[in-house]
Amino acid sequence: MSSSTDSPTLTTETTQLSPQPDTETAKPTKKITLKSSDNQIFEVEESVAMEFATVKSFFEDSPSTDTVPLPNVTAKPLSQVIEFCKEQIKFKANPDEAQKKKYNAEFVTEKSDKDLVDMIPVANYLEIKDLLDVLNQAVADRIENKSVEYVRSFFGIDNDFTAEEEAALRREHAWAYEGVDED
Amino acid sequence: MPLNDLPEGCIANALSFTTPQDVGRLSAVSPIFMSAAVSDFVWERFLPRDLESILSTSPDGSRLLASAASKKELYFSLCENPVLVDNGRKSFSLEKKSGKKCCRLSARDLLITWGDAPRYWTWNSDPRIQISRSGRAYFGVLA
Repeated sequence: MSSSTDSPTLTTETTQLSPQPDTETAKPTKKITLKSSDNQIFEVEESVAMEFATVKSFFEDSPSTDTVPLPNVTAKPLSQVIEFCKEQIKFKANPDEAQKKKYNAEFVTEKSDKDLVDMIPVANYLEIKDLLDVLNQAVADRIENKSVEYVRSFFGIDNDFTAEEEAALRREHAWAYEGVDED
Repeated sequence: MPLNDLPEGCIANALSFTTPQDVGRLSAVSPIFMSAAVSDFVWERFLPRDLESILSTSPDGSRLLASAASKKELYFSLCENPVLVDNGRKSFSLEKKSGKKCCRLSARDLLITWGDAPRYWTWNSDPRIQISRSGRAYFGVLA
């Protein structure tokens, strides 16, 4: 089993929660190790890991494990998802809807299109509903009123339709092509 | 399963945050978008939340609710074929691009000062104005 020394940079990054002492509870924070598909190790506090429904049920099924493998998830989106969930834990402890909205908006604004698209399946797999809603709203805002070609490149999708199939779909929805933004 | 391709559920979820016009257009993006773009999950979001209570007051509306094969079909039926509701006093439809509720009110239903005084107002029938089954004249008002 890999140890956290495999990826010193990421480990440092994920443990930076500690400078802000947890005032709401005095209990010692238990760490949980997540392992991405590209073998990066993430040490996160138990409270953060429990935000991931998939991780939570993994622990309920095998409580003695210390490392949760996430075979479908690569390191970059995972680190961003962890960053988001850490903040949400703070808002859970000290509810502040306005601040939370502001944080969520900034979280997605600074991400590239690809970052957003890459995080969606991770949030979906880990079943983090709040994050999914934030991501889907952000993606929707970015593709609203955009052309079919723009949205293909936004999602990195190849066009699998034949020319005839695509033409038929465009004819069927001709009303939906009025007033579309320039690419 | 590698997650390089977004599953249809994820696409449908993202589409449900856009507009009916976006969904209609983006069905041409790829086959997975196309199947997401016809899903009940997406069109449910575009139907008014109080749709059932609006339509269940009218026989036509109840019939439509019971017979529509999908949420998308229900949506487009309401865009193209207004339904008489409220005992035939209003005609209800949806605006295609946005899903906004549209309501046509019967002119007889409006409170018009001296509306019953023939000296000031007369009720003429005009063949250009749509006449409902209950014989009332309508004009359009966006709700």
